[in-house]
Amino acid sequence: MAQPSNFGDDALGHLDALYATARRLTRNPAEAEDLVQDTYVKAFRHQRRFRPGTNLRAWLFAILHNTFLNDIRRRKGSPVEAVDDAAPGAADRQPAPGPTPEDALVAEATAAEIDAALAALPEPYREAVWLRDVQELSYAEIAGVLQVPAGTVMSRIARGRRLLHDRLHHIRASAIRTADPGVKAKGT
Amino acid sequence: MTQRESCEAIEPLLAPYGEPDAAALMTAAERDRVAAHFEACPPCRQSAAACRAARAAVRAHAAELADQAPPLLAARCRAAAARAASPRRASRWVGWSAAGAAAAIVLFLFLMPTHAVATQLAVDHVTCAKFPAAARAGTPGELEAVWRGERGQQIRIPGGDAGSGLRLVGLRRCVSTEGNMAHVQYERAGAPVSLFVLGAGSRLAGGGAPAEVETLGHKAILWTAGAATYVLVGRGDLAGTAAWMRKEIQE
Repeated sequence: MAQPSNFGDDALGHLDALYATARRLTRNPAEAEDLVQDTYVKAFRHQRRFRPGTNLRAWLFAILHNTFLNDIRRRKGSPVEAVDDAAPGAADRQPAPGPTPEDALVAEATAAEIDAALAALPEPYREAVWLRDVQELSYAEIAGVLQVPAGTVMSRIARGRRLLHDRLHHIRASAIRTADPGVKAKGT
Repeated sequence: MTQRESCEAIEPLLAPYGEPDAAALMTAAERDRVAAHFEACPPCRQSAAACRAARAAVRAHAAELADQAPPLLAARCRAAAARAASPRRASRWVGWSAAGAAAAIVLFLFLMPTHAVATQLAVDHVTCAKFPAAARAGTPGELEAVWRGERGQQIRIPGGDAGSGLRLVGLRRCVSTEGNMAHVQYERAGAPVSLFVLGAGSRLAGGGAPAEVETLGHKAILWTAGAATYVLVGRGDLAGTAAWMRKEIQE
């Protein structure tokens, strides 16, 4: 059966989502543009491998993810953040702050603060949280994109969100102290 | 009494458990496991609350966090679509670096489909319209002589008149092709209009017959005449202006 004639338009319809994701992966606008372009080159070249009826967006995210990893491997000396999915680190075992009033602080976080907190997450957590909470991929789709078991995806998202919460709490408390040095934020 | 599950075993379930539609993402048995664990493990209960708060914060700003791709990136990726049909070409088109600029010129002229050309030139039109003083002013004949002297190319620049409603503002070199494309700026009823002249040997997809494209809130009319390709960009109806220009260029 011939490929749908509108594959190109369908694929390019996900440009913004791919670019936003590439921005989070590379942390660099120019590199993000190159990464997205390389992703589309591969997608168009291998479009026959896409199975109509499956999720095109998730398929494109998988190409983006693999292209990003390959770019990292090609760069000599580029730091790769290693994460042991099976053994939580010491920081992960610390009890997280209680749900209140710290969560009220987190709820007041601005988009810029969340952006900064996401950027500070170790890469595997950042990508998993981003794909779930911003791009709204299912856990199964994320597992397909990252090529890891669904349980690993869930663990990364749980840990990533917890780290994000702690980071946001720290950012908000600092912002309050800066705005009013006389105020001491609770829980800090 | 059953033995409590380890925190490591429960941890993956904290992700869906912290979402509003947890009931659809987890089985009843899984939710019961989490609830039973929380009874004996306050730290995990607090972790679940933190997860829920973090997700809610991200979701509340998801639309703001999802950046829009730059307009030029769409053009680049459409070019990638055209290029992917030719398997012999290199995997990366061009990164817009100085080193790749020369290659960009060739690819821009020969590979980019009509819509991609129009999109890129619409961006150039908007950008250059902010700096009209940077254009070199003069009569059409003077500007044609300037271009011939600096770039070695003979181009035809239509002048404006009352009939066309155009006023010639000036000529500049287009940055997107490292100065190898002429950008003639006009004004029509107070709004900028641009005529881009792509150099000798340029050809558009579709054989060069006049084609109209809408992109980025602008209209672009593209055609090939003689050895050059012309692209008229502006807002509003351009058909009459383009017809007038084609006639002027042919004369």
